[in-house]
Amino acid sequence: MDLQVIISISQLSHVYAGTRKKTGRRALHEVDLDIHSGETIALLGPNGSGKSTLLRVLTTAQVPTSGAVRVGGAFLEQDPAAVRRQLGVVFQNPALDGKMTVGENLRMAGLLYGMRRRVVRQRSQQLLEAVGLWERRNERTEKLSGGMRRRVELAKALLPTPAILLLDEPTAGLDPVARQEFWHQVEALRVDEQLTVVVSTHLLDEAERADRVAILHQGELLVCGSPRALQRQLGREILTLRSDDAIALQTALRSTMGLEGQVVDQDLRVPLKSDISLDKVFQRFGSQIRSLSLAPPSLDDVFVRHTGQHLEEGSAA
Amino acid sequence: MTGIWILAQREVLRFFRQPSRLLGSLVQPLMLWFFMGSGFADSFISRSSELSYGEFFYPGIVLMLLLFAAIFSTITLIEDRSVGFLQGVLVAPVPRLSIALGKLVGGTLIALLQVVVFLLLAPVAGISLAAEMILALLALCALIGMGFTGLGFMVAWKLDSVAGYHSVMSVVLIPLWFLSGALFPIEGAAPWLEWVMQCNPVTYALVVLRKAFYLVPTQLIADAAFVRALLITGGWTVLTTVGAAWMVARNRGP
Repeated sequence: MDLQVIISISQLSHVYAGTRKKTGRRALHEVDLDIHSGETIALLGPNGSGKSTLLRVLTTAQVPTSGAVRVGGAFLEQDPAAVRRQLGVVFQNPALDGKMTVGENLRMAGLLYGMRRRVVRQRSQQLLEAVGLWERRNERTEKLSGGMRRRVELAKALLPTPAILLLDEPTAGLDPVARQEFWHQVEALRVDEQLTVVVSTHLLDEAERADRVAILHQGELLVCGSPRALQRQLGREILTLRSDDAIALQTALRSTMGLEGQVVDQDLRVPLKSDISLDKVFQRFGSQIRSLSLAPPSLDDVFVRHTGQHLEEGSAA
Repeated sequence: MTGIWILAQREVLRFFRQPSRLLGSLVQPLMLWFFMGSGFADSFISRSSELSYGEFFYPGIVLMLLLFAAIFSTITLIEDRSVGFLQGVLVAPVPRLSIALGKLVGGTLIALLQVVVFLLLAPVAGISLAAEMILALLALCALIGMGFTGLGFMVAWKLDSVAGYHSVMSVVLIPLWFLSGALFPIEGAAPWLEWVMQCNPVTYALVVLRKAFYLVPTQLIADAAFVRALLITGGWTVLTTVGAAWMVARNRGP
């Protein structure tokens, strides 16, 4: 893969200003991240982890408290307009005008980006065909299903041939079928249009599609790497033991079998680097174990390893 | 420039795509004019002239039209923000100024469309208009409408709910209108109220309109009271337009 850096983020911090009643909230803390041209990178984290703020900073909608962001050759702080020209953005909230038709929405977006009318027409047709909505171009967007609207947004974002596509929780509120279809089209368009895709998500299966995953927690970037590599660091499999006294079990396993586990809620989670005899574990500790499972590591396990929390629970933090 | 025009076009398109809004904006001033005009028909006595209330009230209704058109077109700013449309526009490589001006020009165009329809009724009110007077009126209405839209924009930009806008509308925007001399003549008001009305910038917009309904452009320019009122109105429009643009430019995020 060509490792040309297209987005470079260094020491990025952002604090949402407090009010009289509320103290300020740290949303991002000294984040360093390079995004390579042509890759799909997922920003994974629970609600409040900072991933949406990071994406908002990239879209130029949010001016960060400190740090530098370079997109292509342009620095975000000095020349936000030059950054905007390289971006296609699909927001979490729909950015379509419901009273206007699919075609009109695209036309307006294209003209706002300074495209010529003829080019807007050609691109609109090409992209609407790609997302399977060309036949519905004369319908008002308020009449379309949620999944279709998202696909219109995708077409709209790609109209001015951006180099980078930013997706902020793009499949929120979609059913699994619509979600599948959306990702299918993003992938096809990514190849056709040679895009770099940055997507924020709290869904594991969406993050696993990406070339790399950047895991965020409480505003900090914990780790970044390919899903496979991140999972492999944890070992081949994760042994999860449920016990009434997980901490006692943790101590016992460490002293007798040399296995290092981590207690999360009532579970003892033991990453396994090599084969062990489950029979042996069962013989010795069977009375303390209420249930046992063995599974290859997931990105949730990666998250647990770094934060001691599950991805879903992290949202409470 | 293109940015302004595209966004203004959208405003007008949306206006025509919402039948209830379209109907309401045309019928409401007519009803108000007709019922108030009929209601006060015999009890209204103007000290200064022989005007019927219907005729007296006519320019006031045009002013109200401009105010309400401005209110309804800037209230959409709150909707744009809450549905996320504004966010999409803010990340487009459009000058921030165009985003404000697009709304303002769009809102003013909608107001002018309504004025044109209403002007067709001038003969019914007993006012006869020559072609050049109509043109002058439209230009003046554009100026006043822009001022109102700028004010509405500033209010809407600061608020995050339509309900909040409604309360500002009833305690600030509508009083600006009924204390302008649109409903009752300023000369007949209590002295303290007269003073308040003299301080109201919208009073001068009404002076501008009233004169323009009876004088041809050449007479208008020679009329000192008109010129003074026009300068105040122009200043107010510049002020609110700059204010609206400044707010968008200052605050990058929605």
